[in-house]
Amino acid sequence: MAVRTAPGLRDVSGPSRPQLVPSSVMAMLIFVSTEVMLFAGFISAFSIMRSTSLVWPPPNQPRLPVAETAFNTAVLLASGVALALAHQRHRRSPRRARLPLLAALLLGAFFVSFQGREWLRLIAQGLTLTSSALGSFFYLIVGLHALHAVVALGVLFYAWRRLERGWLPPSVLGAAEVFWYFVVGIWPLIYWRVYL
Amino acid sequence: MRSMPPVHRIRAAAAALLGTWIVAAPRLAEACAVCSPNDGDPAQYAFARASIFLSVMPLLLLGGIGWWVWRRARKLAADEAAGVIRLPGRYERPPVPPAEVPSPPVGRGHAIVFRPRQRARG
Repeated sequence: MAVRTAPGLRDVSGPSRPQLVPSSVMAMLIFVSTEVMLFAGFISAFSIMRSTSLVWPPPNQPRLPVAETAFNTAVLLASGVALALAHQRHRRSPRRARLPLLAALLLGAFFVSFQGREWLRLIAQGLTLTSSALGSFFYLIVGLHALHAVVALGVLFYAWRRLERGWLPPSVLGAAEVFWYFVVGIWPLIYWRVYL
Repeated sequence: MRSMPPVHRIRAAAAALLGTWIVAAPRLAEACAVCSPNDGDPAQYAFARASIFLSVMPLLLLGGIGWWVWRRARKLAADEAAGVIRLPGRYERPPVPPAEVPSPPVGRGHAIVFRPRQRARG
């Protein structure tokens, strides 16, 4: 049996402590934890505001596109599955991870584009940031998620470019994964609380 | 009770006092704005749910990260024990050179004799 160095760990000579979790992954985990609390605060505030309203959704406001967003949610979840596949392939052979990583990137880009299209439709129907409490919370929470999705797509693109150039360290892929899984994982909660 | 050390006795007394206070003063607990949803008020329930959600979430996050690190440590240790991987910094350490044994001074020239200076008497 061939002995190989543990993936994601530094292979250095001389006395050093084994790195259990790559620093980039741990830093991303800490960052994501703070972002989870940010979203938790906004979603809690939205839930309280919704419960205290006498009429919900507010009258004279367009209804949110539940069915279309359900489809978009499925696309985002598929993107997460593609990234998990890329992770598995990267452990065996980094070159084989290119296709699933690209698929995750494209599916994520589709999600953001689709959301943008839905936003344009809602704005045209009269749901704006100042039209009602629904509008202000909707654009705040969903817009914040879209911002995170765009930044995470940038990180995924950076990882994919490094893989195309020949070498993507597992620590960089791990950090990108943590960020993207956060974007994918928090969306069903947002969909459940805001859209349904 | 006599056989208990003083620190334990103080702890036991403090626990008994706290328990009595909690049981005897339920109105304090009810005074909490989010602890007692009254008469099905949806706003109170929303506050209670949000409080629980925001209280539990950091614990879940930290617990999740800790559990993942623990699982990874166990897997790495198992892989290393099975010879599948080798952890850095364990096999690559350079061998420690043997400690040098000081050789005893040989001959007169190597001996350094320290003589305390004698005080001059005035």
